[in-house]
Amino acid sequence: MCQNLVLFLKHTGEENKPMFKNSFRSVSVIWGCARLLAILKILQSILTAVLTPMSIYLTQILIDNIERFTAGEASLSYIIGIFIGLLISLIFLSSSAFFDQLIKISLERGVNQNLTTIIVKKFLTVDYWCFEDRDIADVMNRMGEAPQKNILNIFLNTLESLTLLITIMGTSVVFAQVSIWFSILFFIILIPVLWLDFKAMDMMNTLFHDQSEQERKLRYLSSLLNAKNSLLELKIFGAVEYILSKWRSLNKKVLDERVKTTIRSQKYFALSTVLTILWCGLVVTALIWNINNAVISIGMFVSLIGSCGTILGLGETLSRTFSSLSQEHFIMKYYDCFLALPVIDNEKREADLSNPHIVFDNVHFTYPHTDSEILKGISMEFYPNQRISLVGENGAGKSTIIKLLCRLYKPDSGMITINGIDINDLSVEELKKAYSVVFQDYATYSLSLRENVAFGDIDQIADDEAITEALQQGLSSDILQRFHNNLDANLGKIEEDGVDLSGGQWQRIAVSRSCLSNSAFVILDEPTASLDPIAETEMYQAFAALLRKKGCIMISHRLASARLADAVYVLKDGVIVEKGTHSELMSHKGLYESMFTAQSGWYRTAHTNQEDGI
Amino acid sequence: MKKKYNVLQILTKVYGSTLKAVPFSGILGILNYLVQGMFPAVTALISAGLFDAAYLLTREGDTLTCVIFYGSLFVGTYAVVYILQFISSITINAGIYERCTSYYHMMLSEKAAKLPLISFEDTEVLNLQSRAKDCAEREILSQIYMSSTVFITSGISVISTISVLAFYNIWLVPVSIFSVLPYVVARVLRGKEFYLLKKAQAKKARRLEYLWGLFHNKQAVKEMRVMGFGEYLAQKWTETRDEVNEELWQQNMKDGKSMLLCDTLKIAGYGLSVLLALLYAVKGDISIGVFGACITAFKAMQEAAKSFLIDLGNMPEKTAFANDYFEFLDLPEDRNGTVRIDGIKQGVVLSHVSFAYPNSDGYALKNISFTIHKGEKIVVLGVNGSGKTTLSKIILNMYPPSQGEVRYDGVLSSEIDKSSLYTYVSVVPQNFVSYSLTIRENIAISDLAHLQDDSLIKQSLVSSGLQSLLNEVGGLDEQLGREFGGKELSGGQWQKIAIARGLFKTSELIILDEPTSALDPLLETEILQQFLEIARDKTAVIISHRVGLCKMADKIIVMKDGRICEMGTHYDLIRKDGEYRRLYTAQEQWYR
Repeated sequence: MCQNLVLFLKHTGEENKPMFKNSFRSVSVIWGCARLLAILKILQSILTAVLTPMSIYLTQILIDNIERFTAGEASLSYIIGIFIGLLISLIFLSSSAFFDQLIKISLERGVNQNLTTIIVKKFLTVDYWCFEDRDIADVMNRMGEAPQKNILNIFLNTLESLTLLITIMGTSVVFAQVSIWFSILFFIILIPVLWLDFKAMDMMNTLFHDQSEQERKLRYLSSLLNAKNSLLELKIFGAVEYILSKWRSLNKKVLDERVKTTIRSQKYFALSTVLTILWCGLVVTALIWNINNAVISIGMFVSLIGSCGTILGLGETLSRTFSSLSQEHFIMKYYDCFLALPVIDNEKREADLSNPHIVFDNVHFTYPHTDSEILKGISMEFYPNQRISLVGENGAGKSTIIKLLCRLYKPDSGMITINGIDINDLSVEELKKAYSVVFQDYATYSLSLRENVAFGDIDQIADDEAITEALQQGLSSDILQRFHNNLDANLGKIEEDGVDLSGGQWQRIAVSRSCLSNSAFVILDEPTASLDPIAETEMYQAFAALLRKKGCIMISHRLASARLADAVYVLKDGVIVEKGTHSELMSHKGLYESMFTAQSGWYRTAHTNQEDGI
Repeated sequence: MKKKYNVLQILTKVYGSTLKAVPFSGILGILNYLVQGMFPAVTALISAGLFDAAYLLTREGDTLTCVIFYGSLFVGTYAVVYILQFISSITINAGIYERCTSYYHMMLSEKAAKLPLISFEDTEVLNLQSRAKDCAEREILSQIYMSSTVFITSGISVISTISVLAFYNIWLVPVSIFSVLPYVVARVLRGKEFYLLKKAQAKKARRLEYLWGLFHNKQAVKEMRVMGFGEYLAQKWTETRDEVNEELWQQNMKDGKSMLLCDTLKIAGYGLSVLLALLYAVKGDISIGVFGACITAFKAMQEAAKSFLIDLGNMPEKTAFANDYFEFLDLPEDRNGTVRIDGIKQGVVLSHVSFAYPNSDGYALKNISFTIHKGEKIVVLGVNGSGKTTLSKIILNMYPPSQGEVRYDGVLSSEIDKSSLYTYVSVVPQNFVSYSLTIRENIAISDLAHLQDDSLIKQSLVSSGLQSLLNEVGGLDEQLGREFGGKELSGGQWQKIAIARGLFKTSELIILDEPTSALDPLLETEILQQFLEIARDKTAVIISHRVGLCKMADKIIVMKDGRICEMGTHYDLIRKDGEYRRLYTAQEQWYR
């Protein structure tokens, strides 16, 4: 499944553009979201398409009849009748701005309501690995950028092209009054004009598309010059001018390329311009020849010449619409791909996990689409109320173990069980009873303080007492006091009255979040990285108190935490190299001992010296 | 908010900077629009002649040359317009939009780099900056340039067309005014927005966007999956969405209704003027040809009037944006002293330095006095928020002290030439930058004179424990950072790069702010020891939470609430039994 998906994705870039297929796919998607409105929009498009040639024809009859009237051959009421007909068609054509807008906003509403719901539902159930996979990142990003607008746009552009095509065909029928050959000629010249315009615009659009990476690079370089942190470095390093000149030369390259392509694409435009002028000249010459031979009436002459500009405008719009379709239609592929992403299955077992016994049985794991195995046969056992410490060098696989434990990924082989049940068979609610987690890259929510904590166990969102207690357990009483015990105060920068917190404060909120659910274990991934020594010590002590009642799995570079642990697992390159208590491992004189000595070395010498001094 | 410039001043400035950036395209763009403005009038004139000649041809049958003459004029006008369009599409797009926009971006970046660093602490400056950037991003200045030209063009269009019609029959003037008038009425009715829909409520839309973002934000998704609050968020999002949609819908309906009124008025005006022209034609006051020309001319005039009024309506909003752009460019720049130094021979002296951030009441630093002697290793300690990082920026002469003074070898911080000072200073900041550039640039950006010195760069990578990384990426010119398809590094690796960068520059004074927070114990020890080795003859200020480092220091400064609460060597301060001892034992107890 996954393999197919990736192949499918890689394919999209190279495949020659199935533009028409995608365009019609957009119609079917919109059809599913807002059927009635889609029909209305289609009807309106057809009406518009028919009315344009109609108004040309009516103008022709009107003028002919004025002429006949002056010659005494037609009645005034007949003229007025035609005039009213013309006026009605014009009213519809010009008020299309209004109807268009009306249908468009209704469509937007319908699509906003239905399509986004489908997308959010999918986002909520997509297997987690998709969020971290590089190949799928593009699909995720595009779906994250409010794709409903693009999909609606493709739909509208598809209809627009159809409308324009019908309009042009209808107009050629009016031209057929002169002669059928005239109509045919009309098409023969119009098609290359359209094609050339499309080609030129497509060339520009392709260039913009190709340059988007360079554009991003330009934006990146200028962001370095516009932010406090980077300016501090660049000023001290004397590198401001270096970045500026880098920006300048890249910018020059981008602009030059663009001007060059513009000029190259102008070749097509030039050709199409010449053809257009030729076409115009041909129409005028043919009409003059015909009127000279009295084949056509003066009305036809006037209205057909008058419609020259209209048709040329239609042709231009058509090629522009085509060109933007050719750029946008890809989103449909991304959308289908997104809908095809694997989802987590929801049928889970109930079980009693209040006294969880967690077992890793020879777990192997490799991240999807990567070669190197991260975990190479991990076997561990955690008993209820145990304090576990996972230590190891950067990149040894500690955080990966947590991800597996949280079912964000599945082991390639081996199994993780709680009380003998595979964790993949358990429901989220059940698993939450076994353990809660504070990730290293915990999230900060620009929502209320209440929500920030209650996300640990959403059922308790209305329970002020429980939330306050969780904040206290997470050492965040000072934050609560800062907001005068108002749990509904907004955090972050989104709301106008929102207050942003420091990194250490957000971290403590994240810890409070995990305290809310009364789980048997708490998993902490680097909880003290941005804390000062006092806060760090307080955090350890608080955990010691809190954890008297529960178990804990802690990852930390500060080996002090390992001393509190009942069992320490030392990881190296995806394998457990040592296991035991602090004192056992110290006497073992392996990796743990060398790490601990390295860290305590900073204190030990000082300590003895201090004693000497006293 | 009061704007600094009025519309006329903005226009002058916009014209000035556009013509400066792209003189040729700028003038060509204007010329093109002026000619195009005459187009409806000319077409009306020629088509009236053509239709009349054709009419006479059908009646009398003897003026074919006249028809051919007008016919070729007609084709000729189209030819001129198309060729003009052809040329202007190059000049306008490439010149006025592309080139100008990048010119404006450049101006903004250059300006930002010249601002005093302290400006970036001022939210007003930051807001002004983001609005100015927005102005460049949305090509507002180019739009002002073009639409002010179109503004004039539309005026020319309307006036010239009316004069042409008046030439045939003076009564066509009031008639043609009927075709334009409704727009003026509609403009009065709908106000500034005229033909554009009003923007929906920005605040709720922002929240909606934020919530939507959470559904594909990795960190949030992870927690959602584990803690199971996805449904709650989805519901909150649905509610907000429906609120935003409902408001948008109400607003759109209201807009739609008033737009319908506009359209009705517009068609009524058009119908009335065509009807009147029709009556003249029937009566024989105007010829068939003129009548035919009228129908197209009225339409062209409506278009011209519409764009005239839309531009008029948009002008205030656009000039408001432009105002932000020019105001940002007017911000006071960083002052630089003139006294050059050639090395920090004695040291840095801070006396009675106090510092307050802009727009804040309290002082972040209060009455700080100490001396950094040449060759000294100083460790600055203190709990989160005690002012350590602010102090480092004062020492770096990035922030000017609010009170007191800082002297480098006796030269006052405000009088020293900064580039000469920074020749001898290096830094590893707390919020170091992970450059999405090549690995070579990531190291040598601190000392660009050695950008091509491969062996020196490699040596610095090796001594920072990055040999394996270098092997992995393959070469010095490989890109780092996922953003541009390079290798993404872990937090620890980026930190090592930052340290290597700081040490790559030959400096006499180096400041390290929390250099090892993301490293594992073995690496931390290795890097700190290497650092002390390299920095043996340097002056160094190290800010750290790792109290253990202090025993190596010549001087320890303990900060609390913006003040120095203790200063001395490890042994002095342990004996003193104060804040330092508290911090030290708090950490040290775990390693006993």
